[in-house]
Amino acid sequence: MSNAKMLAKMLMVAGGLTMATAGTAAMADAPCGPCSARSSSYNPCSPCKAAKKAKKTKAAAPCAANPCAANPCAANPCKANPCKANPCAANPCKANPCKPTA
Amino acid sequence: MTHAELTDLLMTSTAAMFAGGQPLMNRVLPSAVPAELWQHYPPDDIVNGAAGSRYFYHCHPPAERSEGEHGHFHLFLDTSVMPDGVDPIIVPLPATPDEPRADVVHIGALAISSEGLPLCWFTTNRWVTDEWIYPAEAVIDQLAKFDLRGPDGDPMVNDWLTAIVGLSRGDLAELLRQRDAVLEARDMSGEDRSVEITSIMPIALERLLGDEE
Repeated sequence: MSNAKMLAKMLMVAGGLTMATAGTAAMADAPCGPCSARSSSYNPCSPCKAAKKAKKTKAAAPCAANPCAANPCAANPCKANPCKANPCAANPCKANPCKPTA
Repeated sequence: MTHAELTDLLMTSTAAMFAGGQPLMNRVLPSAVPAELWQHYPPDDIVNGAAGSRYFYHCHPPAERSEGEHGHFHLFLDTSVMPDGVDPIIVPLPATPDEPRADVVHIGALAISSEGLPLCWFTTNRWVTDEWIYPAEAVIDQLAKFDLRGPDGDPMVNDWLTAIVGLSRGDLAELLRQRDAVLEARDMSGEDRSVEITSIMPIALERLLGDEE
Protein backbone atom coordinates (compact mmCIF):
# COMPACT_ATOMS: atom_id res chain seq x y z
CA MET A 1 0.00 0.00 0.00
CA SER A 2 1.33 3.46 -0.87
CA ASN A 3 2.07 5.99 1.85
CA ALA A 4 -0.78 8.15 0.60
CA LYS A 5 -3.35 5.36 0.84
CA MET A 6 -2.07 4.33 4.25
CA LEU A 7 -2.22 7.94 5.44
CA ALA A 8 -5.79 8.39 4.23
CA LYS A 9 -6.87 5.14 5.84
CA MET A 10 -5.42 6.15 9.19
CA LEU A 11 -6.84 9.67 9.09
CA MET A 12 -10.36 8.68 8.16
CA VAL A 13 -12.91 9.12 10.93
CA ALA A 14 -15.25 6.18 11.28
CA GLY A 15 -18.76 7.31 10.41
CA GLY A 16 -17.53 10.73 9.33
CA LEU A 17 -17.34 13.96 11.26
CA THR A 18 -20.50 15.30 12.84
CA MET A 19 -21.46 18.57 11.25
CA ALA A 20 -21.12 21.53 13.56
CA THR A 21 -24.24 22.96 15.09
CA ALA A 22 -25.14 26.59 15.70
CA GLY A 23 -23.24 28.07 18.58
CA THR A 24 -20.71 30.82 18.88
CA ALA A 25 -21.36 33.94 16.84
CA ALA A 26 -18.76 34.89 14.28
CA MET A 27 -16.67 37.94 14.99
CA ALA A 28 -18.12 40.68 12.84
CA ASP A 29 -14.89 42.11 11.53
CA ALA A 30 -12.63 39.08 11.44
CA PRO A 31 -14.60 35.86 11.41
CA CYS A 32 -11.45 33.77 11.24
CA GLY A 33 -9.24 35.89 13.46
CA PRO A 34 -6.96 34.37 16.07
CA CYS A 35 -7.81 34.28 19.73
CA SER A 36 -6.56 37.56 21.15
CA ALA A 37 -6.28 36.00 24.58
CA ARG A 38 -3.36 34.03 23.19
CA SER A 39 -1.67 36.97 21.58
CA SER A 40 1.88 35.71 21.71
CA SER A 41 3.20 38.92 20.28
CA TYR A 42 0.91 41.32 22.06
CA ASN A 43 2.73 43.58 24.41
CA PRO A 44 1.01 46.59 25.95
CA CYS A 45 4.10 48.60 25.24
CA SER A 46 4.32 47.68 21.59
CA PRO A 47 1.06 47.22 19.76
CA CYS A 48 2.12 49.26 16.78
CA LYS A 49 4.60 48.45 14.08
CA ALA A 50 7.12 51.08 15.08
CA ALA A 51 7.19 49.90 18.64
CA LYS A 52 7.35 46.30 17.47
CA LYS A 53 10.54 47.10 15.59
CA ALA A 54 11.96 48.56 18.78
CA LYS A 55 10.95 45.43 20.64
CA LYS A 56 12.82 43.27 18.17
CA THR A 57 16.05 45.12 18.81
CA LYS A 58 15.56 45.19 22.55
CA ALA A 59 13.69 41.99 22.98
CA ALA A 60 14.83 41.38 26.53
CA ALA A 61 13.39 44.56 27.96
CA PRO A 62 11.27 46.44 25.46
CA CYS A 63 9.65 48.73 27.96
CA ALA A 64 12.82 49.67 29.73
CA ALA A 65 14.38 50.63 26.45
CA ASN A 66 11.50 52.70 25.30
CA PRO A 67 9.44 53.65 28.31
CA CYS A 68 7.53 56.77 27.53
CA ALA A 69 8.21 58.39 24.23
CA ALA A 70 6.58 55.65 22.24
CA ASN A 71 4.03 54.70 24.83
CA PRO A 72 1.03 53.46 22.86
CA CYS A 73 -1.57 54.02 25.51
CA ALA A 74 -4.13 56.40 24.17
CA ALA A 75 -3.97 58.84 27.03
CA ASN A 76 -0.20 58.58 27.33
CA PRO A 77 -0.14 57.71 31.01
CA CYS A 78 3.57 58.36 31.14
CA LYS A 79 2.99 62.09 30.91
CA ALA A 80 0.47 62.14 33.67
CA ASN A 81 1.98 59.38 35.71
CA PRO A 82 3.58 60.90 38.80
CA CYS A 83 5.52 57.80 39.72
CA LYS A 84 9.25 58.17 39.64
CA ALA A 85 9.78 54.52 38.91
CA ASN A 86 9.68 53.30 35.35
CA PRO A 87 5.93 53.28 34.63
CA CYS A 88 6.15 50.73 31.88
CA ALA A 89 7.53 48.18 34.25
CA ALA A 90 4.27 48.33 36.10
CA ASN A 91 2.27 48.43 32.87
CA PRO A 92 0.75 51.89 32.72
CA CYS A 93 -1.98 50.64 30.43
CA LYS A 94 -3.62 49.05 33.39
CA ALA A 95 -5.61 51.23 35.68
CA ASN A 96 -3.70 53.01 38.42
CA PRO A 97 -0.54 50.98 38.44
CA CYS A 98 1.06 53.06 41.19
CA LYS A 99 0.11 55.71 43.68
CA PRO A 100 1.01 59.38 43.23
CA THR A 101 4.09 60.44 45.10
CA ALA A 102 3.38 64.12 45.05
CA MET B 1 13.66 19.33 8.21
CA THR B 2 14.10 17.45 4.97
CA HIS B 3 11.23 16.10 2.89
CA ALA B 4 12.01 12.61 4.19
CA GLU B 5 11.97 13.80 7.81
CA LEU B 6 8.70 15.66 7.30
CA THR B 7 7.15 12.62 5.63
CA ASP B 8 8.29 10.47 8.52
CA LEU B 9 6.84 12.94 11.04
CA LEU B 10 3.52 12.97 9.20
CA MET B 11 3.32 9.19 8.94
CA THR B 12 4.48 8.41 12.47
CA SER B 13 2.15 10.95 14.10
CA THR B 14 -0.77 9.71 11.99
CA ALA B 15 0.02 6.10 12.85
CA ALA B 16 0.33 6.89 16.55
CA MET B 17 -3.02 8.66 16.59
CA PHE B 18 -4.63 5.78 14.67
CA ALA B 19 -3.10 3.19 16.99
CA GLY B 20 -4.49 5.09 19.96
CA GLY B 21 -7.97 4.82 18.45
CA GLN B 22 -8.26 8.56 17.96
CA PRO B 23 -7.48 9.83 14.47
CA LEU B 24 -6.44 13.44 14.00
CA MET B 25 -9.88 15.04 13.87
CA ASN B 26 -11.15 13.08 16.85
CA ARG B 27 -8.40 14.76 18.82
CA VAL B 28 -9.09 18.22 17.47
CA LEU B 29 -12.84 18.23 17.98
CA PRO B 30 -14.74 17.58 21.21
CA SER B 31 -15.87 13.99 21.66
CA ALA B 32 -18.78 14.44 24.03
CA VAL B 33 -20.69 17.22 22.28
CA PRO B 34 -21.09 18.31 18.66
CA ALA B 35 -18.73 21.00 17.45
CA GLU B 36 -20.20 24.49 17.27
CA LEU B 37 -20.08 26.79 14.27
CA TRP B 38 -17.30 29.39 14.49
CA GLN B 39 -16.00 28.10 17.82
CA HIS B 40 -12.21 27.80 17.92
CA TYR B 41 -10.87 24.32 18.66
CA PRO B 42 -9.10 24.49 20.99
CA PRO B 43 -10.84 27.58 22.37
CA ASP B 44 -7.69 29.59 23.05
CA ASP B 45 -5.76 28.41 19.97
CA ILE B 46 -2.45 26.58 20.18
CA VAL B 47 0.70 28.71 20.11
CA ASN B 48 4.17 27.22 20.27
CA GLY B 49 7.77 28.03 19.44
CA ALA B 50 9.89 31.09 18.86
CA ALA B 51 8.01 31.92 15.67
CA GLY B 52 4.69 32.01 17.50
CA SER B 53 3.33 29.24 15.28
CA ARG B 54 -0.39 29.06 15.85
CA TYR B 55 -3.43 27.10 14.81
CA PHE B 56 -7.08 26.70 15.50
CA TYR B 57 -9.79 24.71 13.75
CA HIS B 58 -13.30 25.90 13.15
CA CYS B 59 -16.40 25.29 11.06
CA HIS B 60 -18.36 27.74 8.95
CA PRO B 61 -22.09 27.46 8.29
CA PRO B 62 -22.94 25.02 5.48
CA ALA B 63 -23.51 27.78 2.93
CA GLU B 64 -19.99 29.10 3.52
CA ARG B 65 -18.09 25.81 3.13
CA SER B 66 -16.44 24.41 0.09
CA GLU B 67 -17.93 21.18 -1.25
CA GLY B 68 -17.32 18.23 1.06
CA GLU B 69 -15.68 20.42 3.71
CA HIS B 70 -16.30 19.92 7.42
CA GLY B 71 -14.12 22.80 8.62
CA HIS B 72 -10.59 24.12 8.38
CA PHE B 73 -7.41 24.85 10.29
CA HIS B 74 -6.13 28.41 10.21
CA LEU B 75 -2.36 28.55 10.52
CA PHE B 76 -0.33 31.58 11.49
CA LEU B 77 3.13 32.89 12.26
CA ASP B 78 3.75 35.76 14.64
CA THR B 79 4.58 39.05 12.92
CA SER B 80 7.79 39.22 14.96
CA VAL B 81 9.35 36.64 12.60
CA MET B 82 9.11 39.02 9.67
CA PRO B 83 12.52 40.49 8.86
CA ASP B 84 13.43 44.09 9.48
CA GLY B 85 13.27 46.12 6.32
CA VAL B 86 10.23 44.32 4.96
CA ASP B 87 7.07 46.35 5.34
CA PRO B 88 3.56 44.92 5.34
CA ILE B 89 1.38 45.60 2.33
CA ILE B 90 -1.77 45.95 4.39
CA VAL B 91 -1.98 46.50 8.12
CA PRO B 92 -4.82 45.97 10.58
CA LEU B 93 -6.35 48.73 12.62
CA PRO B 94 -4.24 49.62 15.65
CA ALA B 95 -4.85 47.50 18.70
CA THR B 96 -5.93 49.16 21.89
CA PRO B 97 -5.15 48.23 25.47
CA ASP B 98 -8.80 47.30 25.93
CA GLU B 99 -8.88 45.11 22.85
CA PRO B 100 -5.53 43.43 22.47
CA ARG B 101 -4.89 41.69 19.22
CA ALA B 102 -2.66 38.82 18.25
CA ASP B 103 -0.31 40.22 15.61
CA VAL B 104 -0.21 37.42 13.11
CA VAL B 105 0.61 36.51 9.53
CA HIS B 106 -1.80 33.96 8.05
CA ILE B 107 0.19 31.39 6.08
CA GLY B 108 -2.86 29.47 4.88
CA ALA B 109 -5.91 27.48 5.84
CA LEU B 110 -6.23 23.71 5.55
CA ALA B 111 -9.73 22.44 4.80
CA ILE B 112 -10.70 19.03 6.14
CA SER B 113 -13.33 16.83 4.55
CA SER B 114 -16.29 15.36 6.41
CA GLU B 115 -14.32 12.08 6.40
CA GLY B 116 -11.43 13.70 8.23
CA LEU B 117 -9.08 13.97 5.25
CA PRO B 118 -7.10 16.99 4.02
CA LEU B 119 -9.14 18.57 1.24
CA CYS B 120 -7.47 21.77 0.09
CA TRP B 121 -5.30 24.69 1.04
CA PHE B 122 -6.56 28.24 0.66
CA THR B 123 -5.58 31.81 1.47
CA THR B 124 -7.82 34.68 2.50
CA ASN B 125 -8.18 38.44 2.36
CA ARG B 126 -6.79 40.49 5.25
CA TRP B 127 -10.11 41.17 6.97
CA VAL B 128 -10.92 37.49 7.28
CA THR B 129 -8.23 36.74 9.86
CA ASP B 130 -7.32 40.29 10.96
CA GLU B 131 -3.76 39.58 9.91
CA TRP B 132 -0.84 41.68 8.78
CA ILE B 133 -0.46 41.12 5.03
CA TYR B 134 3.20 40.92 4.09
CA PRO B 135 4.46 40.40 0.54
CA ALA B 136 4.18 36.75 -0.46
CA GLU B 137 7.94 36.36 -0.93
CA ALA B 138 8.60 37.62 2.58
CA VAL B 139 6.11 35.15 4.06
CA ILE B 140 7.45 32.32 1.91
CA ASP B 141 10.94 33.00 3.26
CA GLN B 142 9.62 32.42 6.78
CA LEU B 143 7.52 29.29 6.15
CA ALA B 144 10.31 27.00 7.30
CA LYS B 145 10.00 28.56 10.76
CA PHE B 146 6.49 27.23 11.19
CA ASP B 147 6.83 24.62 13.91
CA LEU B 148 4.00 23.87 16.28
CA ARG B 149 5.94 21.39 18.36
CA GLY B 150 6.04 22.50 21.98
CA PRO B 151 4.29 22.28 25.32
CA ASP B 152 0.96 23.74 24.24
CA GLY B 153 -1.66 21.37 22.86
CA ASP B 154 -1.74 17.75 21.72
CA PRO B 155 1.80 16.76 20.71
CA MET B 156 0.65 14.46 17.92
CA VAL B 157 -1.66 17.05 16.40
CA ASN B 158 1.17 19.57 16.63
CA ASP B 159 3.52 17.13 14.91
CA TRP B 160 0.99 16.41 12.18
CA LEU B 161 0.30 20.05 11.38
CA THR B 162 4.00 20.92 11.46
CA ALA B 163 4.68 18.11 9.01
CA ILE B 164 1.90 18.87 6.56
CA VAL B 165 2.83 22.55 6.46
CA GLY B 166 6.46 21.61 5.85
CA LEU B 167 5.52 19.23 3.06
CA SER B 168 3.21 21.84 1.52
CA ARG B 169 5.61 24.78 1.49
CA GLY B 170 5.78 24.78 -2.31
CA ASP B 171 1.99 24.82 -2.61
CA LEU B 172 1.66 27.49 0.05
CA ALA B 173 4.21 29.62 -1.78
CA GLU B 174 2.19 29.42 -4.96
CA LEU B 175 -1.03 30.22 -3.11
CA LEU B 176 0.51 33.23 -1.37
CA ARG B 177 1.75 34.59 -4.71
CA GLN B 178 -1.72 34.12 -6.17
CA ARG B 179 -3.18 35.89 -3.15
CA ASP B 180 -0.99 38.93 -3.72
CA ALA B 181 -2.02 39.03 -7.37
CA VAL B 182 -5.70 38.84 -6.45
CA LEU B 183 -5.36 41.58 -3.86
CA GLU B 184 -3.45 43.79 -6.25
CA ALA B 185 -6.13 43.35 -8.89
CA ARG B 186 -9.22 43.46 -6.74
CA ASP B 187 -8.69 44.83 -3.24
CA MET B 188 -5.57 46.64 -2.10
CA SER B 189 -7.43 47.76 1.02
CA GLY B 190 -7.78 44.20 2.27
CA GLU B 191 -11.24 45.11 3.57
CA ASP B 192 -13.58 44.35 0.67
CA ARG B 193 -16.11 41.85 2.04
CA SER B 194 -16.78 40.58 -1.48
CA VAL B 195 -13.18 39.33 -1.68
CA GLU B 196 -12.78 36.54 0.85
CA ILE B 197 -10.92 33.51 -0.54
CA THR B 198 -7.95 34.71 -2.56
CA SER B 199 -6.51 31.39 -3.75
CA ILE B 200 -7.25 27.70 -3.36
CA MET B 201 -5.49 24.44 -4.21
CA PRO B 202 -6.74 20.86 -3.80
CA ILE B 203 -4.51 18.50 -1.82
CA ALA B 204 -3.35 15.27 -3.42
CA LEU B 205 -1.75 13.06 -0.79
CA GLU B 206 0.19 11.14 -3.46
CA ARG B 207 1.87 14.33 -4.64
CA LEU B 208 2.38 15.57 -1.08
CA LEU B 209 4.23 12.39 -0.11
CA GLY B 210 6.05 11.92 -3.39
CA ASP B 211 4.11 8.74 -4.19
CA GLU B 212 3.46 9.88 -7.74
CA GLU B 213 5.04 7.81 -10.47
